[in-house]
Amino acid sequence: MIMIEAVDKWYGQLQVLSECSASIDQGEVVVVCGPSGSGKSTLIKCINGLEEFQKGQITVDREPIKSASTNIYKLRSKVGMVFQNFELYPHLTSIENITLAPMKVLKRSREECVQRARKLLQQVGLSAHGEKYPSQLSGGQQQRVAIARSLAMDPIVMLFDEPTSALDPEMINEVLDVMVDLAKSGMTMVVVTHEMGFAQRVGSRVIFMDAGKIVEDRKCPDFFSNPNSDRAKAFLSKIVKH
Amino acid sequence: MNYHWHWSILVEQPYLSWLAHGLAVTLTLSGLAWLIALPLGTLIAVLRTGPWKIGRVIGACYVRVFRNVPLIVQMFLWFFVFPEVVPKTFGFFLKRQLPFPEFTMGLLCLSFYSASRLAETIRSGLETAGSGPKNAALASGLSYVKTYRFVLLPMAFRLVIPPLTSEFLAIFKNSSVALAIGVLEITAESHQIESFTFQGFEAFTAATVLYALISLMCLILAGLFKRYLSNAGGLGAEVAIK
Amino acid sequence: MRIIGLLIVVTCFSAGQFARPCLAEDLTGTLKKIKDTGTVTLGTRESSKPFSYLDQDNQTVGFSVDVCRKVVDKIKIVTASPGLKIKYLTTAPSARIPLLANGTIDMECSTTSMSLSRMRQVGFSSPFFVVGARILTKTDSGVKDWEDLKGKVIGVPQGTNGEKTVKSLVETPPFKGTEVITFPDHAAGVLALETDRIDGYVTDDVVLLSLRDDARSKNQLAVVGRPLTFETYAIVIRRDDPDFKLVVDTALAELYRSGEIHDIYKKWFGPLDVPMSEANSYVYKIGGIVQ
Repeated sequence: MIMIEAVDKWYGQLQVLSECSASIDQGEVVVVCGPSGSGKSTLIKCINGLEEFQKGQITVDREPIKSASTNIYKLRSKVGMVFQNFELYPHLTSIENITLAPMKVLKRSREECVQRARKLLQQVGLSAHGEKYPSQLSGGQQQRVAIARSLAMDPIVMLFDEPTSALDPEMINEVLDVMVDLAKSGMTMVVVTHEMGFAQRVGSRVIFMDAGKIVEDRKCPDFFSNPNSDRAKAFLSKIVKH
Repeated sequence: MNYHWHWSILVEQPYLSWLAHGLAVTLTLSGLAWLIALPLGTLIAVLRTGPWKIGRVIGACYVRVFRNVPLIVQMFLWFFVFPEVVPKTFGFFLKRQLPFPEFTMGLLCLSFYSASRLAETIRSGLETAGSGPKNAALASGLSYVKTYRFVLLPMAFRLVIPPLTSEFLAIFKNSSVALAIGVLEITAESHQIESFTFQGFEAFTAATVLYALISLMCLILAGLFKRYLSNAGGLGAEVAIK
Repeated sequence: MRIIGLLIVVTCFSAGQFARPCLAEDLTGTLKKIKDTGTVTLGTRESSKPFSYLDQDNQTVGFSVDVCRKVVDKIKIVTASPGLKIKYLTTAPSARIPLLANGTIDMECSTTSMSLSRMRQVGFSSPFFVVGARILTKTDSGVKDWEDLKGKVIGVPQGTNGEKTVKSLVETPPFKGTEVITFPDHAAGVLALETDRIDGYVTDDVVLLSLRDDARSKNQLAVVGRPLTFETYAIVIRRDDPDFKLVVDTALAELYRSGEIHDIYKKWFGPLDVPMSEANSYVYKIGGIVQ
């Protein structure tokens, strides 16, 4: 479903991604981890074109990102994305946050979108919070609204960019639970996270990155039981300790 | 102090109708200037922060030219120089056939000047709104135009209501510069009364009171608008950027 | 007290040129202030040519200034202060009244014309110049007199009696459709005339002659039309100071009667090639009140 082929990216002189290649199949849950600054977030932002890259190609659902003939907006509408800081629209209620893109991009009717939004809010356990503004919600609740907002576009793949790192510890699980349910329902997911518990429960593969390179790309149990590289070993030992 | 107060001149004719005429001109000039400057300033702010390089260059040039040249100089340029540099027939139209030439040119000048100031205010709002919601909106497949229309501009306007209010007030004060090209607004009319009666203190007190009343009205309007907006979504500190 | 003071002053004058110094303690109001401070302050203009303006050397000169200097000579005699100093203060029109009211200036010597509504605030000396509202126009405009301006565009300086005159003129039926544009200063008005924005610029005739003289397109401009209204320039002083007004008026009367005024006139209007108008010569004849 997603093919990443030899992607290089520079910020000026600084190379942040080098020779990154990977492929993600339908229904897979791929966890991307690695020390901070290793290029994880940059890599998944390349997948929906929020970040540009100078070399290589990424193909989503057989459509190349870097191509004049690709409608990047249409492509993005099929790829859901959840951000570290939720990024809800502060001037809109939960329902309005969720219905904006389906109404304006997919041109669905308001009634249809609102109905769908209520179902999605129920799915993430927030039926009672549809009329509230983001500022009236806790971090965990905001992030669950953000997930519902992405799902409203019926994406073929969901990208998660450190979805729990900005949350207080007691709220992490309510978000992870929603993500686990989503994974079990067969959604294709690419998740940048340090939550190794999540990876062990539902992850199909782990991509370990360091210094802009993909160092390991392994099946999930293998990675945890027997990491190949020293850097992955060091990383895991630090993560597990905490 | 050998000054002979005659407050009664303010209610004597023709001075009372001079003041009334001045007030009407100030309100019309400023109100129309605001109606032109707000959309134009918004457009410039969007161009300046938008993804198109040519737009950013045009926006930056506009702001630099119109904000940095003193308003009174701009008034003279519009009124005296502009008709001389355009093709002769158009110049003749501006000088002889345009209805209310000094009012119309003063209005154009004030609008373009105010638009440059509003553009900077709105731009600061757009920048404070941040790249987060922008990325979220783009990631959901919204085009740049829709991202600005439904997410960034509503956020920015809520953030900049206080500076926007003072810009609104500034238009009324700046409208008095139009007296330099012969627009008989409040200040010019009170000069006129001073010149005919030598009761300058009374005339300028009347002008001061009228300006103060206008300011008060604007503040009340802005307060009502703010209350309306806070009923319709998070505001100010609540929108505040994490 | 005031009447007694006045009597003393008048008595002093009656002795004419040979007046003995009057007693300082008898002076009141402006005269007393001038005597005490040893200075007379004249409010003048920056560029009201040829009446009151700053020349190339930044000196305050002009017809009105010379007239005021003669008045100061008289004040020197009346207050017995031969060493009296003259201070010039360049004053914007809108600042002249506050500065006069708070005592910063004692006389305003420029081109201020007398009007009844102004007299509620200030005092005027007797008139020292008569002007009429006329038209500055381009020589090729075909405008010869007021009738030629029907349906055209007329420029006037803001806040002058000329503006009042023109505005009431265009309200008369024959002038229906004639537009009036006001300008904050003469420079803007002349520029508008030169760029064909207006067909005629109307204000006091002597001002127009001097504007024409200074204009770049001097030869393409002409002052035309019969004087529509008459206005008289006078020295502005504080109201309710009859002693001082009497001194000023006496000085003017002597200036007119002695004929010295004609020398001053020639000095400032000779170069402009403007002969003394009939109206003006009558002002000096009538103003030369007998002793």
